[in-house]
Amino acid sequence: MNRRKPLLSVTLLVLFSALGAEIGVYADVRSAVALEGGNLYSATAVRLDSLDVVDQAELERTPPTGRLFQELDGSGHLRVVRTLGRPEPLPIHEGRQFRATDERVALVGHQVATRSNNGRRYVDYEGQAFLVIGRLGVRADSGLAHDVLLQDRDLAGVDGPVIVDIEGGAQALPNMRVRATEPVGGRTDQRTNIDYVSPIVILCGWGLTLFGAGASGLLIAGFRRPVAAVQYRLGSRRLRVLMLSVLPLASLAGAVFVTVWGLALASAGALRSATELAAAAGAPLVLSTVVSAGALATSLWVRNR
Amino acid sequence: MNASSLLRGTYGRLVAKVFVLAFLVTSLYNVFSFSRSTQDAVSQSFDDSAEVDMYGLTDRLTDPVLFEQYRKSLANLEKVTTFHDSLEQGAPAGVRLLSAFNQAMPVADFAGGQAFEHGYGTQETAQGPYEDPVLGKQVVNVKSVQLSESTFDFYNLAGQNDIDLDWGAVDYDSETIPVLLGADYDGVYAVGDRLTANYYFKPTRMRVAGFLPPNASMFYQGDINHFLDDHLVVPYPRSITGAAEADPGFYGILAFAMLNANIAVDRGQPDTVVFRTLQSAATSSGFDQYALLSVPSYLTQFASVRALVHDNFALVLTVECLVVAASLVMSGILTNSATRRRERRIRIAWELGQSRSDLGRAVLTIVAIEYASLAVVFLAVTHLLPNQDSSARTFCLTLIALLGAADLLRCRTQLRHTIRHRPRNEP
Repeated sequence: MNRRKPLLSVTLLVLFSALGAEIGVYADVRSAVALEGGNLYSATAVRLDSLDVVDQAELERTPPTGRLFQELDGSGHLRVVRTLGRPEPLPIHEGRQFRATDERVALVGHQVATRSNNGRRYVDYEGQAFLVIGRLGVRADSGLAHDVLLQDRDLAGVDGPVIVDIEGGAQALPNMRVRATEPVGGRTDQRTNIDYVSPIVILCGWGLTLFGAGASGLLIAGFRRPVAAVQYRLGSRRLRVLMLSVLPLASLAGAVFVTVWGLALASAGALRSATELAAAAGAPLVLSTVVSAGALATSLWVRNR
Repeated sequence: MNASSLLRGTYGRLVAKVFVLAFLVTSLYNVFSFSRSTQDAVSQSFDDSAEVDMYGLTDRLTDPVLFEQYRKSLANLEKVTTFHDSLEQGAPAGVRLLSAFNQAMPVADFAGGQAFEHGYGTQETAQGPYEDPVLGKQVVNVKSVQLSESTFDFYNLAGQNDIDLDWGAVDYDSETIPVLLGADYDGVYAVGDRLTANYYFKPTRMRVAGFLPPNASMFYQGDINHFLDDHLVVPYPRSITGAAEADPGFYGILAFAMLNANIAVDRGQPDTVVFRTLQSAATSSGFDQYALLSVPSYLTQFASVRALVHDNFALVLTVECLVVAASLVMSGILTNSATRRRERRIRIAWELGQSRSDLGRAVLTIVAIEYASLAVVFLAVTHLLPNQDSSARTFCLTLIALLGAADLLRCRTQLRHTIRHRPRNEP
């Protein structure tokens, strides 16, 4: 009996933390797979004839979250991209994502020839060298094996067609003056009902995680309640009794967090986003601990010595 | 003892259990409907039979002057159509001619919106309505694809509700041509509606024979995700050999349009089979102005898009496994804790002389309440979901019934165990 309860507590903490982290990994990988199936455009991406319908200065001041693409040749495989904020991760299997502040860097497919210099890899375009920071495609032999994405402000022109892929659609652009825009994204995801299913799976998963984490907190508090009651009866102060119960639980949760977070980072590979996964793995643990502490505190403060 | 006194103090746990199981069943419903939609997608576009080496066929008469001259001679047209027929009908097994062309179709008094217009959503720009000199009416160039029966079959295209094109009845000299419309046309036109179009400068009447299912797609111009939802699908006749005499202008253009084709060669066939097939068609018809291109992008895209579809499925399945595990553990714990609470009451009731059947009935009522509310919550939630799937719903309701039966069995065993060897006051 004495060993059963701590074991059950750890199992519950691990279970819901892992579920939270798994949904975090799922969301990252899934959005990358969706972008790969849509030629790197999400379902809300639209094509504009040119960017001069958008207030450039305003775009600098309050940038939305997303990406702007321009094709550099007719092949469709060579594009210049401008990253705004921290959008959903691009499908890569090696290296890292573009950051909004990156200049003269490139993400290239597995089949693209690169030049090595001092241990770094470069691709050249119009006499300029671009540092390769990662490899495109969820896996190496993907449909993006021949694609090149360059990030460089000087290459992106104001005129010429631009593909706007930002959260909230093109209407979220500052001072958007045209209403007629043409959708370009979607595509592979259109083949199945994943667009409906995925959010519901995430919702069910999160619902279960939070609900389960809360219920686990109550259950763990229940395990501890008799001991806490006795300690209080024997003359310990309420706060001390509470701390004696909550601190071991919190350190246990901490250990679980480190393990689950590490495993989640490893399983997400190049698509990992450390802070989001930390939040996903940590939220159920924090909830369990807080609920547990709250339940114990209530039971202590309503009790008379 | 009745169910409500047995339930006292465990209402919270009961509601929690119903919610946990509702999350489980709802997510299973989703995964089930998703797996069916994945299967459909795979069997429509990524069947093993569609894993072929693709070649592109076109003519070499790129010079407009030469083309005009060539087209003027009826004998030449006869060569082109014979060449086409010999590829279409005389090709060896494993070699298929997939004739398709996306000539925009000017349709008079068009009822649809801008999204149907040729060039919309691409780098070209949509032209908008204009006065057509052939029809003498306002027309709109709509997105259209003209294709042969073998192309239609290769991409597993079919009309909705088992309405299919009667390919034998496709005759360009008859009064009307039966056409299919993409799924987005639903509500714009209805089956039986008639359209007037300028088909290669020939005023043509078309009759809507049916609609394609949503997300029907084919490989076109290097894109495996070429969706036909906003397209007007015009069938080619099986053969136009001998038809050119009546209208050399129209059939001259059509003959060359029909040469725009892909050739699908089953994997495992030697490369030479396609060259030999073309050679023999050229010899028998006398037309040798063709060009053949390898289209490796088809297989690359085929593999990568199929992998993506499978990736999605694997991802959803992984999360679902954890959801199932977590909800089963959680509901197990909740059931256990509620049972222990009820056990004490059952024991006392038994010792006080309550009959076995009364206790059994109370337990049955609790299980019935749990699983009936689960079914109600599940039905209410899935009613609100965008993906309605009746067989997934039946599957989930059966699952709820099975879970309920298993739970009831467990409760009865538990009850027997609780009251065994217990002393009691016989009334």
